[in-house]
Amino acid sequence: MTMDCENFDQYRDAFLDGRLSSDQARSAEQHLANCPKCQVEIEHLLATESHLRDQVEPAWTEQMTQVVLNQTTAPIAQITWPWQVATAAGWLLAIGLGLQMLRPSGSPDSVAQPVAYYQPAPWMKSTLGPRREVEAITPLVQMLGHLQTGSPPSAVLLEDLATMRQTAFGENRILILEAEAACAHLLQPARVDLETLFPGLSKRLQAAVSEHTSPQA
Amino acid sequence: MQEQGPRLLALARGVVRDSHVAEDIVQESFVKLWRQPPEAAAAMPSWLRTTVVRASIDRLRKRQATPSDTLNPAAPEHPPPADAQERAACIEDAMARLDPEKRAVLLLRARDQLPYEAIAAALEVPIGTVMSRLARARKALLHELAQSEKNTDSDPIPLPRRQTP
Repeated sequence: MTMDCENFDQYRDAFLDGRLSSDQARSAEQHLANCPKCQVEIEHLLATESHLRDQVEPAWTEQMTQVVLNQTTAPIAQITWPWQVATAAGWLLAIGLGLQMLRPSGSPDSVAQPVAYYQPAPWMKSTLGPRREVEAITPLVQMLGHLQTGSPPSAVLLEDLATMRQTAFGENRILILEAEAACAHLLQPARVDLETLFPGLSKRLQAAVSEHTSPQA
Repeated sequence: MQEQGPRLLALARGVVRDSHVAEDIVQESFVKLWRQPPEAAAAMPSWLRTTVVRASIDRLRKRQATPSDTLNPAAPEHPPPADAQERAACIEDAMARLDPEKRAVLLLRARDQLPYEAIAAALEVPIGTVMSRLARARKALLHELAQSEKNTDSDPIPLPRRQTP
């Protein structure tokens, strides 16, 4: 098979991508050897592909990760948690739950289903960055105590948890986020079932505390 | 994010030609992934690639922007020699003059070295469309390089490997 420039033009992509049969490839190479114009075109395309392939990838910075985390953990993550805001958030949650409980029972769609406040799927946790041990243990121990006794936390504890969350990654960030939301519930006069809203939160807080205090951790 | 981020940033920067816009696009894509059902996670790398390419092209369409000059490629550890720099500049100029769809298909094929099937998935088009789009992109690139040659009255890409028959 003899190839001219017009033929080669049609086969050029297949030649570059290795889709030609051995006979076709041999003909293409023969044409290239005798045609400076087509040779230059192929070399320009190869040089372009080489240039694109060899470009250094830009660095992914911690700051970029932080921007994503701040958006994925909204709405609570973006609140700086002064005392009044925490209280207001808790009231809003309580009012929402109260309205749900006031709905008449009987019809199938009116049955109140226990719904977790914030339960991300396991795969989401893997996108939050590397799992790291929590940096400070005291706020978690205090929060665990409040969950176990039902006593309302202090504003300082809320602020400590919010500060911890800013630097937490992976599952720990979610854990602290839930702890903050649970704090808001504990501040309300009408208590709700925190185990329903935050399934297993006490156990996970206990695990984080144990991991931090364990000599193997 | 640390694993996928650099590759996606490079892809977005290659299409939109703007480092800051590329950062926004990749960050937004990670946020979108967060809101996806678990099924999307199974195909996370390809889902992210598709989202980044689509968002990059959409961003340029919305802006109706001409290619920007704000792309600042990461500085290599060892700067290339002058003729290589000249060659890189010519290629970048030619790439910048292509439309975003053509840049995207060239980047996916040449930079990410994806097979046609993966490019088709990333662009959400049939494989036949990938082949024809790639052919058009290469032809357009050659045209742009030829224009550079006319303007400079010299070979746009000095190639040390060229052999005269």
